[in-house]
Amino acid sequence: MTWHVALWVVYMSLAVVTLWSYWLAPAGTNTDYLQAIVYTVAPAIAVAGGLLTVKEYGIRSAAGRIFFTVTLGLIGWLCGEILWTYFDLVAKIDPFPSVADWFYFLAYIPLCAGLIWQYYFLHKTVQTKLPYTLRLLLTMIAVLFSGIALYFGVYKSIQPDYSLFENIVAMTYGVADIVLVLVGLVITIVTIEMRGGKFAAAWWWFLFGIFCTFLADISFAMFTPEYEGGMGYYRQALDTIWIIGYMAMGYGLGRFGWLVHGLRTRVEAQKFENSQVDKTEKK
Amino acid sequence: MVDNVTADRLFKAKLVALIAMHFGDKTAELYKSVFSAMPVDFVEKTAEKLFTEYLGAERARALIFETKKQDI
Repeated sequence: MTWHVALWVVYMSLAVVTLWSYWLAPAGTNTDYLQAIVYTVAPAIAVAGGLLTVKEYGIRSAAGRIFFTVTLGLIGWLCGEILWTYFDLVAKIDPFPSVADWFYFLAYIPLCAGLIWQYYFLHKTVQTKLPYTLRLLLTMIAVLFSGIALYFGVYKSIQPDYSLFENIVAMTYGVADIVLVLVGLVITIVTIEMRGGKFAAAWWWFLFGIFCTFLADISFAMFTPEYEGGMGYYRQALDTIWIIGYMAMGYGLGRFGWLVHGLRTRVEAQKFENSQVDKTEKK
Repeated sequence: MVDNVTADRLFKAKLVALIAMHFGDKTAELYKSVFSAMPVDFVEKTAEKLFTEYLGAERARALIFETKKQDI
């Protein structure tokens, strides 16, 4: 069984367990632990997707280094999720604010650096720039999303009963979401500028993952009391969106490695076939 | 100026370097051995087909054009 098949099996298993633990299983301690496991396995899969792609590319290549930098960001999010879950479920400590937040924030540095590096890496070979209307539309969407993040993530996150430090940490999440929008814009430009090609699909998957994370982050900022109080289906819905986001990012990153692996297998098979033809001709 | 054989070899090397940048070292090594036995026209077509398939037609043309344009 090749690694990408193994990754698919893990993905499907995680999807089924997520559906069961968040939406179908009866409430209880076991369900809480199962949810915590699923919630930390999702970013671990995203990291695995990234690392497998780095392995396929090799760290010495420019693309390999870019994917490694992006994966470092996902490792930061994974560490944040593990620590958050540990504080919340095992140590029974309020995880906000905690060292987990630092991991979430620090992760944006390699993530953004990697994606901007990718933008410059590919952008220099672009011959036809995006049409003016499309650039305008993308800018308007980015401004709209940034405005939403600014209002709900920064302004509305200020709580009078929180300490100054807690408020700063809460507002930083809103600022981080604005960064997420800008990163999303960068990937969108890179992907549209590709104008086809198998790598474009992988970038769309990654973009979808970033969008899910943004959507869940903003919804969390809007419905924090409902989420934390376990009202309605807020917690289930938001955690599911976060998990889908991680899975999409992992799939997008892993797909690059998968594609390169498939390419090499195909070329090796052709090479072998040609060598057999040569041998037959010599005989 | 360099002779045609050296120019062809340099062109192939540049294409292999491009493949290494976009597809990693292992893939580049594989293509290096494939290209070594191929005539340069065929190498160019193979590389363009590869870039078109994975990076899009426009970028493929740009990469090949840039590689050809560079002074040898």
